[in-house]
Amino acid sequence: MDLAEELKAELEIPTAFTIPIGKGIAINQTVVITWCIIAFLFVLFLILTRGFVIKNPGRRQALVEAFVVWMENVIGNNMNEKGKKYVPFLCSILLFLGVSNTIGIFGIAPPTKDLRTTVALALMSIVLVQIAGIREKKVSGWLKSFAHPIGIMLPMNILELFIKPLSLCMRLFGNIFAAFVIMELVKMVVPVVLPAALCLYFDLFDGLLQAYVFVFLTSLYINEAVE
Amino acid sequence: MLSFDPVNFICMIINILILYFLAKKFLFGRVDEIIKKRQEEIDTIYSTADRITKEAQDSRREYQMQLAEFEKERSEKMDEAIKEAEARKTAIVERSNAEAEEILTEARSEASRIRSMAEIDRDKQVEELVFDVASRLAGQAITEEANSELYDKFLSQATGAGSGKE
Repeated sequence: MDLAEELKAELEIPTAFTIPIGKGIAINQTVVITWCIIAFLFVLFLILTRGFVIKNPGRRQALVEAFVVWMENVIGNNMNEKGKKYVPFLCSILLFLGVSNTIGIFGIAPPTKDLRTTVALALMSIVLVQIAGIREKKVSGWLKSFAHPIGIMLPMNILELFIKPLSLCMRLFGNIFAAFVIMELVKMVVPVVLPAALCLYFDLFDGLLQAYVFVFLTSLYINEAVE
Repeated sequence: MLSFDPVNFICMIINILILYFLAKKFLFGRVDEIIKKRQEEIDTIYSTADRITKEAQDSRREYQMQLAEFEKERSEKMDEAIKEAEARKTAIVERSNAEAEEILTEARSEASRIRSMAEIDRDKQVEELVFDVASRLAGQAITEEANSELYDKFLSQATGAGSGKE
């Protein structure tokens, strides 16, 4: 198998199983990995938040509280008071993306390598942004905001409605996809030592950075929508 | 690789929503709730401490006011007692002076009476002596020597009577 075919095979998203309904519903590997990530995070939440007390918290509780407060502050500090109610959603996305983007360290294909995941995330983010705008400004105010600051901007603002999620999803997908391709190429050319070193950058640093960028941009869009 | 099928896309959206609800309920919800409860407890402790401090300050103020009142009352009573004692002292001294004056007056009048009685007594003795001498003179011949003797006797009696009176 030549390099191109080998790479193509690595980039394929295989079907994990098929639900025997009608012609059969194929569930791909990304969805199954996402279920595993959700199950892992759920078990982690249960273990970490078990036996929380008000007075004299233990080391585990103190660390969890500090981490959650830090995460809420990292995202919440970019937002105004009206936007702060969306912080838990953004934190959940950050956690999901953080785990998804770095899961490649363990040799598992990151779900964000699949365009469906990033499109779903971007679509949800932009729907959330529009919902936040409608809740804050009501439908009439939200519609008027398309002509902000002047009426001539109307086409640009309508275009922005599609450009923002597109840029969000393509940035995330492009980065993770590119990182995966590079790592696969490196593994094919130099199978030892070098992939381990590059993995720290592409899987850890770039993965976490892209997770933060995605959430940061979404928080900015929400902020803009509720102002 | 870049294929797009709606089933898996919808599955991803559902997955993310499930993760959001799980994270909200089991991580952020629990942590935020515990932090909120702790904050409430801290606020309660602070408000209780503030209330106790305020109560203590009020009690202290009240105590100081009572103390000042007691001090004032004590001072008033002390002044009153001093005034009363002064008045009583003045009354006693005045009464004592009056009594002493009375006793002195009585003593003076008694002394005057005794003196006047002594004078009367002496005059009576002189009178008796004169009468005695006169009666003797009338009973015997008067010679130069007899006269001298009578005078001497009279004088010695008179002297004796005067010194006895005193």
